Amino acid sequence: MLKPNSRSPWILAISGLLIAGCFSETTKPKAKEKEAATEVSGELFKVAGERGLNDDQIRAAMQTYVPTGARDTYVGLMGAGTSGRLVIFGMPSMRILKYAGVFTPEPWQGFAYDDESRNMLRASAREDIEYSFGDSAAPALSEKDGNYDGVAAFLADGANGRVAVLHLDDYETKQIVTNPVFRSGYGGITVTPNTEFVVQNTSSPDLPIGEWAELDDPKLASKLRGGVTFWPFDRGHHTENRINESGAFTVELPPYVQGESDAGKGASAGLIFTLGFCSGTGVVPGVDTTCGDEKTPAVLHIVDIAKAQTLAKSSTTLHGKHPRVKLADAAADGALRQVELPAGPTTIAVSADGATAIITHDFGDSVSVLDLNRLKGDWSAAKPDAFGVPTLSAAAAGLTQIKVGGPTADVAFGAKGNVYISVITPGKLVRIDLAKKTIAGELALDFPGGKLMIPQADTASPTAEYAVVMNTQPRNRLTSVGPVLAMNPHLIDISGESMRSLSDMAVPQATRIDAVAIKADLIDGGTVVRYPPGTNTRTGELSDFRTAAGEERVERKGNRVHVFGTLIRSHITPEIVEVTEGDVVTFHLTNLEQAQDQTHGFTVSTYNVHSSWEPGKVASVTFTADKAGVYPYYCTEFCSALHLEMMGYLMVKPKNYVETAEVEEVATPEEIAQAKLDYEAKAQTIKETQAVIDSVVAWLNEHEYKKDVRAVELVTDAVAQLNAAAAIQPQIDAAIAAGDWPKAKLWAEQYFQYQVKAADAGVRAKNVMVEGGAK
Amino acid sequence: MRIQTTKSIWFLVAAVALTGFGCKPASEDSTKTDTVAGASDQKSELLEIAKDRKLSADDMVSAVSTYGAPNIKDEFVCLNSGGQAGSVIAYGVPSMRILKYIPTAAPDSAAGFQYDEESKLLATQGYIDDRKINWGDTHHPAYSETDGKYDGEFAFINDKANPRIFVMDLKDFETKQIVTNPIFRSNHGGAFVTPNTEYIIESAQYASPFDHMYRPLTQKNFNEFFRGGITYHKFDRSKGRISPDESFVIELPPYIQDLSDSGKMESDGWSFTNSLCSERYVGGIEAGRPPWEAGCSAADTDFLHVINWKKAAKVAASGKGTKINGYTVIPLDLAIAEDLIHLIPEAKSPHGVDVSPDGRFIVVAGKLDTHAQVFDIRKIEDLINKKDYAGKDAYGVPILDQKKAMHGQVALGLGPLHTQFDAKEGIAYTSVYIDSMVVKWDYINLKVVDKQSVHYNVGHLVAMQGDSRDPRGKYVISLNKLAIDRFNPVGPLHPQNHQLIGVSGDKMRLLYDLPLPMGEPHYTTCIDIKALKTQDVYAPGTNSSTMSPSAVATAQGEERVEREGKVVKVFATVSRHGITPKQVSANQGDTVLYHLTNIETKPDASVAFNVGGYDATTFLPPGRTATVRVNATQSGHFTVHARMTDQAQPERSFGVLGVKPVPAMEAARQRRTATMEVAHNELMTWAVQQERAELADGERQFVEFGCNACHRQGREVGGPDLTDVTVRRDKAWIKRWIMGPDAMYEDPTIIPLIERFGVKMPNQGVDAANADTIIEYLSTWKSAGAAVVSDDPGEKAYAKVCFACHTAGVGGAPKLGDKEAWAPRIAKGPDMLLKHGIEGFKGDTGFMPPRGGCSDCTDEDLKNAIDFITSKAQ
Repeated sequence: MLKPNSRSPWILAISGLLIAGCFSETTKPKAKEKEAATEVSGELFKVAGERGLNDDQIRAAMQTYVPTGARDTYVGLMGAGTSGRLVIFGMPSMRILKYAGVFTPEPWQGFAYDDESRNMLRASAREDIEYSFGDSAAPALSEKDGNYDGVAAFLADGANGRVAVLHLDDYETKQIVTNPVFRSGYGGITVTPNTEFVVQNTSSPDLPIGEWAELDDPKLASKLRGGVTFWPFDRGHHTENRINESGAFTVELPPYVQGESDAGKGASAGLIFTLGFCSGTGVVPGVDTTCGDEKTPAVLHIVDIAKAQTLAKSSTTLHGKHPRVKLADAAADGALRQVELPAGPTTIAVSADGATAIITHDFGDSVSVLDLNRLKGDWSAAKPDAFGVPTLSAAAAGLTQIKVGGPTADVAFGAKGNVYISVITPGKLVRIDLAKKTIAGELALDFPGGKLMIPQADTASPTAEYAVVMNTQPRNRLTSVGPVLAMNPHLIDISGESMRSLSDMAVPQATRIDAVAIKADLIDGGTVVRYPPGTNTRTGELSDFRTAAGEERVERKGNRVHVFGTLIRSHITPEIVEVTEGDVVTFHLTNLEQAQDQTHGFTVSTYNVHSSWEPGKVASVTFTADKAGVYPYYCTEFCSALHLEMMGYLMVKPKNYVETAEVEEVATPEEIAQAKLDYEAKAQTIKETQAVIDSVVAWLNEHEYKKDVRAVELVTDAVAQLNAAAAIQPQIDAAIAAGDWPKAKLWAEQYFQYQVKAADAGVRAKNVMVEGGAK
Repeated sequence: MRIQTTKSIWFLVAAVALTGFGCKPASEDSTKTDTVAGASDQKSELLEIAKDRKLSADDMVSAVSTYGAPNIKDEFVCLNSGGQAGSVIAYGVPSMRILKYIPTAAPDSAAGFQYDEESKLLATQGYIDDRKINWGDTHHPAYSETDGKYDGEFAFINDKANPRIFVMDLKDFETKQIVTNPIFRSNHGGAFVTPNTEYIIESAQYASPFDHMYRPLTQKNFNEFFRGGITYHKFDRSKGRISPDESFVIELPPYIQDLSDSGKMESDGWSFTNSLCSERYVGGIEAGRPPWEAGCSAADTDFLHVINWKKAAKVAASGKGTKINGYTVIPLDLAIAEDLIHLIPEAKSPHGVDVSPDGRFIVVAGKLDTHAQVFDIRKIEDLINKKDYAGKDAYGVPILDQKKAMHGQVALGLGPLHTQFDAKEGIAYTSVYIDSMVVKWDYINLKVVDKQSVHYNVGHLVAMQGDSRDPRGKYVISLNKLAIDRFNPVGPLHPQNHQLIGVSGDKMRLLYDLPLPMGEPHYTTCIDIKALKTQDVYAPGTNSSTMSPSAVATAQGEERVEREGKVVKVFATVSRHGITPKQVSANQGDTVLYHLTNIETKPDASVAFNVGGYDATTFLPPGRTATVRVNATQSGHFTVHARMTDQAQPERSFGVLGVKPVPAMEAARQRRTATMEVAHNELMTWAVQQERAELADGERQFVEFGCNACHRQGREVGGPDLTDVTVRRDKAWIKRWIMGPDAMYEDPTIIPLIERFGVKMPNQGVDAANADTIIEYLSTWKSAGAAVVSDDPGEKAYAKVCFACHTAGVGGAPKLGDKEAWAPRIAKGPDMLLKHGIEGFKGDTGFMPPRGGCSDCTDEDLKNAIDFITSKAQ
């Protein structure tokens, strides 16, 4: 039989690549050091003409295109409604970088598929009801002195009244807390200026958990409540940064329909502002009221956090250990006060200095402006509302209005005191002049204006470059793929005097869209690419179930089987696991890799388990091996050229299986002789390959690879592969000593495979250096 | 010797491939075009932006080549496997915007998939051994074809982990059918369709016994009882569904079957399937055997399976086959006897096998080879017709001579993986994994045309309609497996990177990097959007899982609540007026079924529905009917949300479900909750904690602070062996290190350790008291020391501290008596050795701390010790 492919081409090709090093230079885009264009090529206009781009679109393309290897200026974080995930994206490219699993299980990242994350999610259950989705508007980011500090993100689940904490070093969900008073709430969330509290509020009036009233109870409205819940955030070592449930409390609000909240800062620090719609005598869900028109009254609820906290400490109304401050107590103490608002308040935003709040309305044609300093003054004009809450009329509070020409969806602060309003109909983005109370500029949109986002708008340091208006009618703006389509945030340039449309983003798997964004350089530096070896990433601690190389084992106690295994390019250890039908089996796996982006996945055929193991991570999957048979397991992440060989078998023996002696075939002398020849050939290949690798090392040293941090990472990986190869040498020696040539040949092949992996990393190290300008 | 004789030939091939395209100046690469120019003020504005944003002239062209806007439509829609995400991802080209995650195997709460009763019922089609499966590892999507061309009607994808095929309807891009494979335990080479979608091909991956019985995993049993195979799923076009009754499996040897493709045009009737590990190796690294990866790459070639599926279909229909698990199987001996199957040796560990648009050539890319091999169906048919065999495999399958079947081969680089075809005759694109590049080459004239680097480690690639009879060229997308540094960082789990490459010109040109934010696409297939016939809304009252009218649809005005015992059926409509009826009452312990119909008719007027506090949700595009179940175990008020998605402000109209307390039900619920808790705790606890409590102080801290992850007595596992560390190092130094390693990474004695192990010891937050107990524990980690057998002052000095590194060779120290290692050191002279001994020294392999870390060793001690060491190395 013809065998045309010897091993030699590999060596030669490796040497060609690594030593000659010429072809890479012409084909590698030099993303790092490249020169900006000095002239516009005719091809640009040719392509633009062919594609039908107008001049504005050509310019917009230039403003939003991010070339390979370059970075976006801002990182956005978007709540996507009932997807139960946090969408992380870059601006201005508007490319989605990750969907982080938060409330909904997601197998690619193993979220709520491995035991560690499933236990974390399970902890948010209300007794027998476990949750497998959430409904979220925009997240909030942790703050220090009113500015984002890049530590954590918080996402609310409006459907089930929960709050999730994600860490921004690895974009994983670390904690989900469940509101013990109210079952559902508003999808948005806010934080105080030093993240002392993460603040969650209700949306529709609710019957507090544990209470009961008939739906046709004529006094039902008076038994329902809204509420604001304060979750203290514990800072500390990076593995902490979680909500401390023991310090949390809830303040009752009247049974109106609550909307968005914002925390005071600067001049208004210590207050929480929450929109209340359909104020009056209270709302019963499902009963038609006068909520739906421009005459419907509304209020701004104002909670004094310090006063509320004091009341909470003495509250005797407890849900578990969670105090609930009764409406009457809050109203009597001044912990809760209100200002009357025009109908249909949709959002509230507090200015960077904390002195002004702007409220948008989906009725009328104006936005409201409230001077928050005035709220510190005299409240003697306040009158109790139907629930006894001191309430100032809009006039008494000094509320003023600015006409913007239509009902409004959202407001955001930009840099230099600029304020932007998203108008629903006619769809437009408006810049207003707060001092003159006039429109300072506007950009017409051909869709209804939705939620509005300007990076860092809700901090002390709003930005001046981009705004995003959310469009929830994507049809005709995106290519159709059926009735369910992506949602459509629209990017706008606000850096100049006139605002200009830039691009249309697509966000699939979203049922609402709202976002925040942070300057990339405030957050990118804090991210990690690997975990300390053996980490349970959900707790941040070293896992009890971590396994070091060489320590792999199977432990059994009755029908409970624990497999302590490891993952590394390109094998799973152990490779064959024997259990008995009915055993409850847990694979506790540790990814031994330290190289960036070297993730492994794991599944056992048909047993419905999967997770993702990033470098250093430990995760566990548990299942009952309920049917005898043969079940392959394998790595699900394409991790190397020999990824498909990263496999093993779970062998499930029938109960009461009687072992029979298995006779293994013995190699014939001819086979052994051939194996010896094969071994010798492989040994020669290894030697030649090593010479090539040595020359690569020389090239890298010569070009001072240590100055290129990316190259250092790759060389570190290459060295790890070579160390792994070296560690096999004793196996080869032992096999040779025993005259076991077939085994010697196989171990030599394994040695060579590690060399190939070293070459893989080496090629990339050289490529990144060439990309960076090395010759 | 085989290697010696072939070397020179392959050297030439490799050298030509590598240097022939190497060293042209960059300027020759850019495509020059003369065309109309923009106005000069426009140009200067564009240049200003380019300068600000560091865009090259090429980047500027790429920007306009990919910009998407409402008036500028995508040209193609690509379906990507979601891999472990268990979904299918649709994006547009060239805008590279992701349009949809099609729910396939895994739950998707945004779509309500596996949350509402209709899609849960659909998911039960995919259960295996009655086991619920709520994820999948989707790999290879395929569009339905008519006459070898995409017809835009259906799409298919396989699940590798749980061997299944999913059928999607392209009218709404939703999953309609899940077909499990009753024979295999995993698959890979699917879904690939025959030219008129007569069959959907699914080849096995990891061999297993067809009867699903347990067999001890010996080599003998593996060879005898484990089998690979290919399933041909019969597609009934009129129903738009697979007919399992008319489908069949061909049994194959236990080679790991891999990707497949079906013939077309002149190769119509044939299908081709790659394999890897034709060695039939059985691993077992835990038992001292080399791992699978070693054994599976030992041979130089693997086997291309050539199957006559048209003939096989007739054999299957004739009833000659057998039934296994109720399914038609053509056993291997029958397949051989009926002349259905032949093997051809192919480039080692190939991935893609791809048939050219005219059907004549079959291209195989060998991952562990440097070549793509081109086989010719005419030659293959000729050999088969003449029964011109080179031999037979262990199972009697005839093997064709590789050279006789081959048109030729071309060296493309390290790790050729997958090939797709251009509209231009003879032009193909092949991904090359290790070299991280896409190679454009001529498979007829067997030469490389162009190479394009990609970032990084490309797996599959896709050209527009590039696996059909009707390829379009224009774009190629490189499906890279690693992204590493391409995007703003988002933690250890990186996105994938799909790089769009323009291929209209002579030179390929990188246009765009698309991060894939969820899932790991393996394979992509792109269709001209003009071929699609999508609908934007459903007919009123449609069950979208079946695409038929729902029996529980409700028209406006017909809303009602029906009670049947403990089941409360709510026939509701949803619209921009919210849900009707708005109030529903039930008793604790009831089951409430919300049968929801979205009565809106305008596209995008969808409703996100959920019952707050219950784990109940779904999503209703216009016209859809779906059912949400609430098991009302808890009493109280539950807000019912029905939020329109096309409105700037979500609808404030909501309803309520009131569940009246029933004391008996509440008691039962509490008992059930307690039982759930106990069961969960039992499942999740293991003896680790208890074992740890039994450890002595010191060792317990050592374990609890995770030191044992990297440190073992007597060997290196990720960090240095700490045996004798308290001899080598000053205890105060160790304490400082344990408590704050991150402040000491620049310590000259630490730098070489970081280099050696490639990892920095993390700060584990050990406090002073615990550090002391750990050090005390470590002081028990002692080797036997150096046995002093004489009064030699040098030997005595050596035994004081030097032994701690030099006897075992810790940290790269040369071992006592290792002449080869000591010779260059001794050659530096005794004065230099003493100087290094006193001051410390950092060498290529390790480091020597000052005085070996021994603060009370005198210069005289060191000199004596050096004399002793030198004497042992002579």
